[in-house]
Amino acid sequence: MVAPAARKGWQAGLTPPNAGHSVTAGANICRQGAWAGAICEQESKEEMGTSLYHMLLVCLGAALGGAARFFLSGLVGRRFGETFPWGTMAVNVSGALAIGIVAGTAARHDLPGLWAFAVTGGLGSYTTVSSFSLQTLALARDGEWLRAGGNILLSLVLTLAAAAVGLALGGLWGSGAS
Amino acid sequence: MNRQSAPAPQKPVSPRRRGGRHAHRREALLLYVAVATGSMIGGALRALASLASVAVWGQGFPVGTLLVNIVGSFLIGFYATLTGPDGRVFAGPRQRQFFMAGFCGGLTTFSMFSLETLVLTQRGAWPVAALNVAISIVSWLAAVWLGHVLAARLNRLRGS
Repeated sequence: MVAPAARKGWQAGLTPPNAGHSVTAGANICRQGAWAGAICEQESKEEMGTSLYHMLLVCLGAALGGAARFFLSGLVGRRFGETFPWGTMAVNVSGALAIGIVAGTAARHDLPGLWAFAVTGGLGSYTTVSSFSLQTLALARDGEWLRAGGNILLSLVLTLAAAAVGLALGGLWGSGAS
Repeated sequence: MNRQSAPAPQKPVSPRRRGGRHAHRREALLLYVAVATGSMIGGALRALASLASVAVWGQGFPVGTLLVNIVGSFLIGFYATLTGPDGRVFAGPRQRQFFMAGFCGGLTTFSMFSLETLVLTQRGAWPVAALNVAISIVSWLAAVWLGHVLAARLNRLRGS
């Protein structure tokens, strides 16, 4: 699965607003120079080493992000009760805000290591869709359709808004940042 | 649990000397290790899926994130019901959290979904962004429901 990607080159994910066409932010654990939408070739062993290093950063970030999510969602759940999944919502909204800030910063300052550790690894794992889906299903199965619908709408609106605010704070939203 | 069965101490005892508190802490630590390990595996798979998706489908649509979120939703729905109170498979709390909070949580991502949707709108691709949101929400919920239904059917097979 990975071999063709390594041969053809990993393409950039997030790029400054006016620079490219790429969109797949999740894929960006690439080396420097990838931010401008350029295709980065994986030819030399040195570069393979760099991508391995970035993969390790992803793993480290993912372990920390998952533990942080477990801690915070449990804390919020205990404090505000379990009838509505406030814990998952708190994690997803705070994670979306943070990913906007960090992604904007990493893209502007060309920091693929930060991207791999904090964006793909840390914040990617910190937030969760699986718990959101499971809790929405549980609400629906209990006949709590209003709460299920409210969870869907509120999660979507708040996370997208938080990520937009984060990108603005990170300097990547609106004005043509470079 | 052990704390409740222990006799009430006459004076404050340091937590370290109390076996119950100590075992409780050790248990909590192991739970965090299980979640972090699962999250690491899930997160690494998600990163690989994103890379593979870019190689195969290109960059017009964030297929990789969509796929991991669907797969993670399906798996958590399936596993939660299969190992639940009426499930046919027994799993301890640590094992459950390793897979559900750890692996499925690390595999799926709400923040990357938001970021990729916003990047689409920044490119002016508003219809694609709206499509991403619509497809995502419907397919996540369909996947978790399908996983639950399949596991419930498996559970019933055992009973009859």
